[in-house]
Amino acid sequence: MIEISNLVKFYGDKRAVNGISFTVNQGEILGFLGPNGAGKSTTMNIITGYLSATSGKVTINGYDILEQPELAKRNIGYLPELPPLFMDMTVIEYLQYVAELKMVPKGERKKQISDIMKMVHIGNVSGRLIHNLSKGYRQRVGIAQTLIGNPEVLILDEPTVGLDPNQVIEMRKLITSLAKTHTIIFSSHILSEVQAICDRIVIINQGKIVADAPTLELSAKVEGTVQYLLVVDAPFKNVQMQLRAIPNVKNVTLLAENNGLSQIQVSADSSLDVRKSIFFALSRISVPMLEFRSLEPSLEEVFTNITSPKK
Amino acid sequence: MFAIFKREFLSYFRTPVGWIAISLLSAISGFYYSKMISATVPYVNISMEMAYLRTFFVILIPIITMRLFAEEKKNGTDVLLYTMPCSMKSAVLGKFLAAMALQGLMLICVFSHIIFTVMLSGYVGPETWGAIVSYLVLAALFISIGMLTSALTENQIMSAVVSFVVLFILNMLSSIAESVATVIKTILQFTHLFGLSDQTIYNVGERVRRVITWFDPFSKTSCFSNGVFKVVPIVFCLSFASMFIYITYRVLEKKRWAQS
Repeated sequence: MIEISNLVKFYGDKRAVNGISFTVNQGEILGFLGPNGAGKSTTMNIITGYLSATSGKVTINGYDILEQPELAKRNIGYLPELPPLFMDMTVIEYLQYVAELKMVPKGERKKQISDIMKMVHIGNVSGRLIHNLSKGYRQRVGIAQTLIGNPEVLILDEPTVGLDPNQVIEMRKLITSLAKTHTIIFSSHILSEVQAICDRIVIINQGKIVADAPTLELSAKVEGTVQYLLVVDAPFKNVQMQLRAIPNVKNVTLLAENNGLSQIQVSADSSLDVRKSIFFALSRISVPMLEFRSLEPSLEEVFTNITSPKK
Repeated sequence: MFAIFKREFLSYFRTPVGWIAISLLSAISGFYYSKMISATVPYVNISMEMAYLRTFFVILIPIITMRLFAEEKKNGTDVLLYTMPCSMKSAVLGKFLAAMALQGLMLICVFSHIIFTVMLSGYVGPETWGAIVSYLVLAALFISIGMLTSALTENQIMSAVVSFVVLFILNMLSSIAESVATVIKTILQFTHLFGLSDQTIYNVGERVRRVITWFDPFSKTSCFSNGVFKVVPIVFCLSFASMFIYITYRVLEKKRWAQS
């Protein structure tokens, strides 16, 4: 369990973190969302004791990070943005070193390390130098490092950045499986990713909490409007009227038009699914649809949706 | 602490640094010893060899200490030191002891020379042991300085250069003291600033020289090489070393609170 109250961190005159408070309950996955430079990493660094807050308090399982750092830190596994890996060590040497730092009893070390290596699938590279591993493997070694010592709280700072799509999916699976036994704070700047894994989402912007709500509730708010991307084999002027005529479609804009193909963005009210209507409207006038997919709302849209009063 | 000591000590041998430092010192001491022994065995004086080796501290110690903290900061692995349940104090001590252990390991060839000398019925007396003691306390002092420069920067080269300059100044301290004293005496003589007599001016110069040389670790420990054991130099070196170790700890702790 993580309790954070009124965290403030100044960098010179700039308030990087400005009065953040939230609580993460046992067994919860909290998505920590915000654009780059919002203060995500700073907050996480404060929670783990890497930085000290200018004011405010952090307790991990009841231990204050500043007053009882050793007890608090035993309960934390931290994966910073840049995984703290020693390039001149092999994977197993590195994990042994971390186990020693985490004061894992000598008798348990071997078993714990081999269990963790199995869990994150790095057993096959255990004897290789970290220097020679690919980005995905390094990230997994970073995750393995956080799991050593069985900490209850895991703090993962953008663990999926720089991974290829398959690795991202695998990483998400891993995090969801860890959630059964851990309390997790997971930061990201991608909304869909957080939606996919987390029970609750905290959104921060410019050092302040903009939203703190269960994922479902927040998704409903965000998805007041949905966006679709269409590519049709017809000039825009031929389809414009038909699309506009569909009930619930709010806006139709042309993104690009070339070689007779038009790329169109359609925004619609999420209360009613308009996808069928779009399909039939276009088939009625025999316009072939080459592409049809929904677009992710950008973080900026999310902010405006959340912060602006409901229309 | 032991975990950090172990990692740091072994990492000297994962990179070329440890091997180079040891082989360099072995080559230098071997050269010096063979020169001495080719004269006549009874005149071999290991303490002179040690004194000769000490002059290479100025190059060797920056190389040993430059990576201690600078590399961790650069690679982002210092996060581990800050967020693990071990305290920063034990991390600093562990790293210091690792560098000391490497420095001690370099004495292996000197020990082999001692054994050779005894086997050839040469003379190994208190001045040899004295030289080893002064070698170790000086190493402790210089390593603590090097470690501090490494904690101050992210750049290993910068750290090496700064500690090289500091050690070089310490090496030259007695001659620096001499010239500072001379400059002060000359200024006082020619400007008649305070209307002092020649005798007082000479005394002032002497004072200045003695104050500066008081800080010279080399002249402080020189008695050991003559087989004279004193407590003062040991206390001097070790207390300054502890001070630098403590400052290193404070510098690293400060980073948490830094506002930039």
